[in-house]
Formats: sequence, structure tokens, C-alpha cells
Amino acid sequence: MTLHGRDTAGAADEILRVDNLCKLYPVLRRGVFRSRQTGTIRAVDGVSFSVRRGETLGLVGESGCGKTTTARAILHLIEPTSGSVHLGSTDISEVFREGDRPRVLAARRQLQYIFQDPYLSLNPRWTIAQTLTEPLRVHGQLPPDQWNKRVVELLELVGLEAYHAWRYPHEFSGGQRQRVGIARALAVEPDVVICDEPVSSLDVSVRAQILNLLADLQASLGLTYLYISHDLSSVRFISTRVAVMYLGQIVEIADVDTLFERPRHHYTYALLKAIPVPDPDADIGDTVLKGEVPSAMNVPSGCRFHPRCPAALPICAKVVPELKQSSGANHAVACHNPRSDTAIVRNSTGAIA
Amino acid sequence: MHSTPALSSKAALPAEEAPPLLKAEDLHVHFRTGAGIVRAVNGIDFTVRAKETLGLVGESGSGKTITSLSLLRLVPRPAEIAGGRIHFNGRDLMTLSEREMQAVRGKHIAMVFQNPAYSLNPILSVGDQLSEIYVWHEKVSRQAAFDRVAELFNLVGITDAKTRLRQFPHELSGGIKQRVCIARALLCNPALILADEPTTNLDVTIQSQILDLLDRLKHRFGTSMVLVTHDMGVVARMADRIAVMYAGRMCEIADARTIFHNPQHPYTRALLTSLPRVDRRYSETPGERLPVIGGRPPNLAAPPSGCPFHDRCVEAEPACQAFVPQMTEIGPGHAVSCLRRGSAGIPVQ
Repeated sequence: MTLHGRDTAGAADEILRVDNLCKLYPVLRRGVFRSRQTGTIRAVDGVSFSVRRGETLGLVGESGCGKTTTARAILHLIEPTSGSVHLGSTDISEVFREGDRPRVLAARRQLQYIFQDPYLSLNPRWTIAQTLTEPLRVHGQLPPDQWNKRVVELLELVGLEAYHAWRYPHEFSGGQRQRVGIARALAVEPDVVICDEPVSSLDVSVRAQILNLLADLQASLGLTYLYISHDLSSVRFISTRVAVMYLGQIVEIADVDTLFERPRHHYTYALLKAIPVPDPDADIGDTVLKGEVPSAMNVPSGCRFHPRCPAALPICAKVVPELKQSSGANHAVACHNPRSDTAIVRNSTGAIA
Repeated sequence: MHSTPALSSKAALPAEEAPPLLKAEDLHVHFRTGAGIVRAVNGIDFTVRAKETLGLVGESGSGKTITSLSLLRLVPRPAEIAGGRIHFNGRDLMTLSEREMQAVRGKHIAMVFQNPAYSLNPILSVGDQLSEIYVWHEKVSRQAAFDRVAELFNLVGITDAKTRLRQFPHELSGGIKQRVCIARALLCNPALILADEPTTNLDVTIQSQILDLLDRLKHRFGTSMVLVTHDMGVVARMADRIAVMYAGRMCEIADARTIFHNPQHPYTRALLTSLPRVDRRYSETPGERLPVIGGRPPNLAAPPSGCPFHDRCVEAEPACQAFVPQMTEIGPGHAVSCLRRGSAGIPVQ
């Protein structure tokens, strides 16, 4: 159980390692005197992966697959049911559980979070300067007389101007607010930044600006990203490696080009084929995937994807497939009957033939 | 000015010669706010032909949703339609009484909203709320209406229709709710469906299923559609013609192929190139950055003078600030409003 699904990224330069992370929610039926547990929602069920220093691991999947829960459990914003998270050589899940404040702060300094909705994640009653000095105050790294200088530095880093410090969030557009959210995450000079759908709520014309900013910051500051998104095109742009989640588990993990060009899991393939291609001549053919994602309360037996899988075998309903190395290096897939290891064929419009 | 003959819905004329099903002229929608009048839709014209899908593309605040709502005269307060004509079936919808308008909504022009969860009544079963519409428009018995709803549920791919009829919206998944909304739109065989971001809230695999469904139904019933979306992939797949909007004005309108393969307006071009593509290897060029549209979306309370896009446009020249470009035909069925493409301009007062 312990090691199932560990992908074997080079151990030497790995900065974040997640082992068998689980988050289960009990489903309670409330009675007059006591509640009874009638079921379990397996939101994240045995997720393991590692992220190397300086890379971006994309975590993709549809809503409800557990990608945000995974991210929050890593940071202990949600307490994980079990599993461990290593940041460098420190077991931070242990640190968070013990709750020793100096050590918790040290862990949080290294691991920061950019939220999906820049409208909800900034305090509307605080000026941007207050928002950006809060992490400096909490972590106490800088003497107070240097805070203003640091705020200006941070604003310039994310492409805003010094005078923006005295404004309130409502005076900004969505893209500018997300820049503030990024500046706040960078205030304490983290090593790893978890980006949870950072561009999903932004307009198309602003999305490219923020994606470029994230790429620039990664190059100049040597940041490591865990980039969570359901939008596969932004994942293709920003990621070094990509993990695909389905119903609380990772079904495939590989280098970005391998995953987009030679996916082996049938779910990954279906996801890729479902993306509408921006070309009116694209012939998309039939939708591969029928039905909907089952409830995480009643997960199917065996492979969780088998009821919707076009290539399911009898064994798929009985035995849980392990995430194991496929032919290529750095390519692991959890499937009893994977697609052949050939490149998917795209026609001139970019649609999957 | 135009006397559009009453539409025979299954006319076998080629699309170009057939009279348009709907023709919007010089449409204006204003929001009266404390900060003055916000012109959310600022003088736009377009037609929707029989059996075609017109894609209405733009960012939030471009006025695309308000445009589609104004076709049904459903703009929410404090917005109001400040001018324009909407010719539909030989009538100008602007001149109808509210009572007459109600008879058009849902029967001749139906709507599919962005968020199916908000557009269904949470305290009525889906069967009840859909049959109510059919009873009102078609004056049939409740039982006949229920049969019609069940028939449509089968058509839109809702299995076990009889059970579903008795369920409430909260018991249905997002994908099924959107199917219910599509069934609701089809109840009275409308000539035109307005679909406002019908798949934006759905996952890609469900989105793909819903787009398949809309495509199939469109061909089967010959329904025209106005598809409002910001997703260039969705509009490429669904639309016959595409209108691009920016800051309440139309930038460019043409058939889908022209928009994607020969876009003329700088905004259309920028929209198409700024998106990352799933079929590109970015890993081979680590320093590569996406082409961006600089600046930020316009503030409609104080829009830029002249061409509203000039402050973000790479091709802008001084004249772009002084003249408001007008939609000008530059090819068959291809109109663009850009001074750099030879559009006529009206001096800013």
C-alpha cells in the first residue's frame, strides 16, 4: 500500500514529495441523539507524486476529481486523513500536525498558495500595501522599516506600479488582482508555489499576461510550481510534467509532451479529444466519453474509470490498477489495458483524428 | 425601412438569398449608474439567417450577453434598451406590448442560460416547471404537456425520463441540468435559440457531450442559434458565422472560416493568437512567451475615445483616437470596424 503509485522522479533534486495522501470525508446521517456514519467520500485517495526543483507539475482533472483538495491538504489548509508530504528533507505533514508555530511558519514560508478567485482571496477592506505587508509581519523576516521598500519591490516584480499600494482591491481589474495575489505569495520568498487555477476566472486577453508572468517569475526566481487546472491548453504551456487525476487518484503522470502526444490512459485520451480546437475545419468526430463522473461516495470497484472506459476488460472491475512505469521513462500509468504507446494523430487543424 | 416577409421556416432558399430570420439594427443598451450612463451595447447591427448559428464572441463586459438578452427584451435593471429595432418574423419586437412579447419568449425565441443551476426553479420538479411553459404557450392539458416534456428528455439524452420528471434541480448533475434547460428551450419548437455560454460551467468531457447534442438538434429541427461565448474552440466548432464584440461595439463579422483563417480586426487577431494551444510543444522553446493583448479590458463608464480598442492595439495610429470606426464591408459577408482596414470613421465630438 505504502508505495503504490509513487512515480520515480529523480530523487536527488526533488523538492516536494507527496506520499499516499488521503482525504476522506465521513458522510453522516444525523439522528436526534447521535449521528451515524453511512458512507465515506474519498475526495483524495492515495495520491503520490514528487515535484523537482525548478519544474512545473501540472495537476489536471475535471471538477470533483480532488485536485484542489490535494493542494490544500499539502498545505494543511485541509487536514489530510493520512499520508505524508516532504518539503526538501522535512516531513511538513508532521510539522503541521504537531503545530509548533516557528516550524509551521518556516514550512509555510517555503510553500505558498495562489488562489483561483482574485475577487474572493483579497481582503476588500485592506489596501494592497496592507495585504502585502501581512505576510512580512506574520513571518517577521524583515524589520518593519523595510516593509514599504519590499512592497514596492513586489509590486514591480508582478508588473504593477508603486502607487497601486494605496489602492483597494475593488479599484483593480481581475488580472491586476491576480497580480496582487501572486505578489502576496512571493512576499516571503517561497521555493514552491501552488497555483490553483490562477487564470480560470480571468478574461481571455488577460490570461496570456498572467501565464507569461508566472513563466517569467519561475525563470528569474527559480520557483517550483504545482499548477492545478482543468484548462489543458494553459497546462501545456506552463508545465514540465503533468499528472492526470480521476476520482481522487492519479491515473497517469508523464512529461508534458509525452502526456499530450502519447497518452496511455484512456481517460487522458478522452480529455484531450474533448477539447474543442479553435479551427472551424476541425473534424472532432464522436465524443469518446459517455456518461458522467460517478460520485466520490460510491466509487466503482477496481479501476474507478472502468464503467466509462471504452477498453475495459473483466479484470478492470475487480482489481485496482497500480500506477506503474510505462515503457517510456518518466511515464507512469494506472491501467490494465493501456493504449498502445504510439503518438496520437492530429490533422492539420490540430484536432485529434 | 425593411419589410421582412413572414418567415416560412423551412424555406429551401440558399442562406444568402433567404430573408434573415432576425435582424437587429442600431441596438443600444444603457445602464444608468451613479457614475453616468454606461453604454453596454453601443449601436450594433447583425442578422441571423434561417438554420444558421451565429457566434457572438467577446470578453466579459463586451456586451455579448446583454445583446442576446436584449433580443428578448430581457435586459435586467438598471439596464434599458435605449434604441434600435429587432425585426423578427416580419415584426419589430421593440414595438410589441409586454404581453405580446411574452408570447414570443420561449415559443419563437428560447434561451439557454450560462448557469443551469440558477435558471431552474429550485422548488419545482423539473417536470412541473417545464410542462407549465408548454401549457401556457400551447394551451394543452397538463398530461399532454408532461408527455411532451418526457419526449424531449429522451431527445436530449436524459435516460429514464419518467423518473427524472419528478426530480428537483438539486438532485441533478450539472450536465443533466443543462440538458433539462436545452429540453426547455426546445419545448415549443422555436425558430431561434439564444445560448449564453451554455457549456462554460461544465467540464470538458461534459461540454463535448452538450455541444454534440446542440449540433444534432440544430440539424434535426433546423433551428437557428445565437451562441454567446468567450471560448474560441467552442465557437469554431458550432458557429457558421461569427461576430466579435469589444466594449459594446462590433469589431468584425464574417463566416467562421474567414474569422479563423483571415481575421482582419487587430482585436480578433490578438484573441486568436494569445491562447496557448494544446497541440504545440512549448517545452522546446523554454523562453517562449504567449503573444499578449497589452493593457486591460476597457472601463465602459469612461471608454477610450474613438476606436475603443485603440489603447491596446498594436496597429493604432493617431486617427484611431479621433474617429469612431464604422462597420464597413471589406469582402462578401465580411465587415470590420477598423480605420487601418479602410473602415469609415465618424469624428469624435
